[in-house]
Amino acid sequence: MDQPGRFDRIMSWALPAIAAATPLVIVYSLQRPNVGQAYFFILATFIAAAAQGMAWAFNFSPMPRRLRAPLVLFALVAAAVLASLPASRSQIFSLKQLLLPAAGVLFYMLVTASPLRRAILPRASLAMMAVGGLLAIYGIGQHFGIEILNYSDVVRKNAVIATIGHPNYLSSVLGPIVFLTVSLYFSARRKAWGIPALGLVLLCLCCIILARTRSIWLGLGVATLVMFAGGALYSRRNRAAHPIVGKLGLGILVSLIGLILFGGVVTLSGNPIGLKERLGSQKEISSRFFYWNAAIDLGRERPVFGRGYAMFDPEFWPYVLRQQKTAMGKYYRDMLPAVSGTNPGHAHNEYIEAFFETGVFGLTALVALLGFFLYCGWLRMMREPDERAAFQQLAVLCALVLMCIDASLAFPWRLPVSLIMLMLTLAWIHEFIYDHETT
Amino acid sequence: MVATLADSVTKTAIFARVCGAALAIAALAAFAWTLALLSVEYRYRRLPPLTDEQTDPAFLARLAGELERLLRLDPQNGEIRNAYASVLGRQRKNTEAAAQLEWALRLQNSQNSLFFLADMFDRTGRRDQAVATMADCIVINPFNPQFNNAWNRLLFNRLGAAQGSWQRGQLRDVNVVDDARRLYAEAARNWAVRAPNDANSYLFMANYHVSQLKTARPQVYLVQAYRLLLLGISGAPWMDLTKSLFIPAQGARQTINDILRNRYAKPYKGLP
Repeated sequence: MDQPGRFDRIMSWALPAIAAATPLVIVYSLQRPNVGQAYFFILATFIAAAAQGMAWAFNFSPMPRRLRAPLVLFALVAAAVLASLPASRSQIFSLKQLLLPAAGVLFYMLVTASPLRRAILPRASLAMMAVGGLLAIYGIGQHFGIEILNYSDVVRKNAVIATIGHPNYLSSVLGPIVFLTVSLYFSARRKAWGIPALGLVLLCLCCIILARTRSIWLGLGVATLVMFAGGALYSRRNRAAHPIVGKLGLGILVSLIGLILFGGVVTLSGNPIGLKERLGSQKEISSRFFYWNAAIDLGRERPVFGRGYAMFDPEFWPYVLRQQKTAMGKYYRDMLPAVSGTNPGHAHNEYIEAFFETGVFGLTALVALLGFFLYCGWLRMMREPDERAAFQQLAVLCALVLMCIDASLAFPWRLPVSLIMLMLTLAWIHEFIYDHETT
Repeated sequence: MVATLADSVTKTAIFARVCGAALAIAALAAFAWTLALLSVEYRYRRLPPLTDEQTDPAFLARLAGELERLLRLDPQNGEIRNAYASVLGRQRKNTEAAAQLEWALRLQNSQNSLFFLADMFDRTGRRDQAVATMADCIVINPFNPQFNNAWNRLLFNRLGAAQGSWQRGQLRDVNVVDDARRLYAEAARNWAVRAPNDANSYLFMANYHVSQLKTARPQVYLVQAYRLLLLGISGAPWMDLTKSLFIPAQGARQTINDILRNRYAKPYKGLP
C-alpha cells in the first residue's frame, strides 16, 4: 500500500469541504439556487481533479495501480454517453450539460483513488450531516414563514426549499442523509451518539414531510423495509446482531411516534401539511406518466445508442405536436393542460431518460453500475463478521436504495447536491467492497 | 528478476505521469470552459429586462449588442437566442428574429417560441408559414387565450386579404376565399365553445357572420353578427376570462350527480 503524502492529506480535507460547501452556495443572479451550486461544484471538482492529476504526474501522490470494476462500469456509461452524441441535436449543448455528471464522477474517483479515503468518507458524511441538519431546520422554518434569504418570486413560490431551491430537490438531499446518519451511528464507538443521531434523523424526516415529496416518502418506506429485512437476514447468520435489530425497530418506532406528534403540532399551528390533498393530487402524477410515455416513444426511435444527452427537453414539444396530429392524439388531449405552459426539463425518471438519451446500451451500463454496487455491497455486508460494521454497510446500501427509488420518479442525479450524495454513497460502498486497499 | 521489477516500476511511473498529466490538462480545459459558461450566464442574468414598454432604439441596440457578444461565447444557448430574437423583433428586424427563433427552437423548444415565430412570419409577409406555425402552436395549446386570439386574428386577416383580392379581381379562384372562410369559421367556433368567458370569442364569431353578409341570405347573418357584437362589447361581468378554461372537477361532479338524480338543467328538461 502506498503511503499518503502531504498532498493527499490536503485533499482529504478539500473534498469534504467541496461537498459541504456546495449546498451553501447562493448566487441570486443565477435565477435558481441549483444553478450556482452546480457551477461551484463543477469548478471546484475540476480544480481538485487538475491538482490530483498534477500530483500523480509529479509523484506527489500515489496513483491506484489496479483497475477496479466500478471504474470499468463508469467507463461503460461514459462510452454510452459518447456513443449517443452523434444523434444529439447539438453535441456542444450535450457536452455542456454533461459537465455536472462528469464532475460528479470525478468527485467519486478522487475520493476512491485517495489513499486516505477511509478518512475522507466519514469527514464528508459528517459535513453533509451537519449541513443537512441546518437545511432541515431552515426548511421547517420556511414552512412557518421564516425566510432569511432574498430569493426571487420564481424560487419563493415553493415554501420548504432551504438553500436548495425546490422541495423535491431538498428532500432528495435529506433522504440519503437519514441513512448516512444511521450508518455513522453504527460506526461510532461512543453510545452517546445515539441521541444526536436520532435527533438529526427526526429533523430530516420532519422537513421531508413538510416538503411534501412523495417520491422520497416512498423511497424512505422501501429503504426502511430493506433495512429491517436486511438486518433480520443478517441476524439469522450472526446471533450477536439480534439486539441491534431490536434497537433498529425501536428507533423506527420512536421516529414514527415523533413524526405523528410533529404532524399534530403542525396541524394545530394552522399550517397543515395537506397530506390527503398531496396524495390525491393527480396533475403531477399524470404529467409524469406522460413524460415517461414520451421518453419511451422517442427512445424507441433510436433504441441502441439513444438521442443524445439532455435532449429530452428540446425533443418533448415536437413529439407532443406529432402525437397530437395522429389518431392517437385525442387519447392524450386531456393531458395538455397538465403539461402546457412549461418545459418538462427532464423525463422525471432517470432510467427512462437514460434509455431515451443513451439507448439500451446506456441503460444497461447504468443498471449494471448500480446493480454492481447493490449486489456486491449486499454480499459484503452479509459476510461482515462485525455486526455493527454490517449494519453500517446496510444503512449505506439503504441510502442507495432510496436514491434509486427517488430516481424513478424524479431527476436527482442531475442536481448538484443530490449528485454529491449519490457519489458519496457509492464511494462508501466502494470502500466497503475494497476495504483492504486503504490505510 | 530485479531488472524486470525495475522495468515494471519505471513503466508504472511513466503511466502514472502520462495519466496524471492528461487528467490535469482535461480538467483545466473543462474548468476554463465552465468558467466561460458561468460568465455568460451571470452577464445574461444581469442584463436589464426587455419590458413591453421598452422601445428606446439606443437601449435596444445596446441590448442586442450585448446579447450578440454572449452568443459568440455560448452559441448553443437557446434562452439567450430567444431573448436576442425578442430584441430583434422589437427593432423590427423580423426576418433576422425569425431566423434566430428557428435556431433557438432546436434547443429550447418552448411553446411561446412557436407563437413568437408565427408572429414573425406574419410580420415578414410569410402568411402561409405563419398560419402553419400558429396552427401547430394551437394543436399543443388548445386552451391558451393569448394563442387562440392570435390564431383567430391571423385567420381573419387572411380571410380579409383573400376577400379583398377577390373583389379587386386579383384572385380568380373563389375556392381560396371559401377555404379561408371555412378555416376561420372553424377556429372562431372552436374558441367560442372553449372559452365562452372570453369576450373576444364573441367578436371573432361576429366577424365570421359579418364576412357572410354578402351571401344570399344576409339577414340571417346580420342578426347573429349584431347579437354577438353586442355580447362581445357589452363587458358583462360573467365574461371575465378566468385562467382556467375548464369546469372545475367539483362543478362537473355536481352537474353529473344532478343529472343522475333527474335534476336536469332547464334546457334539457323533457328530453327523452
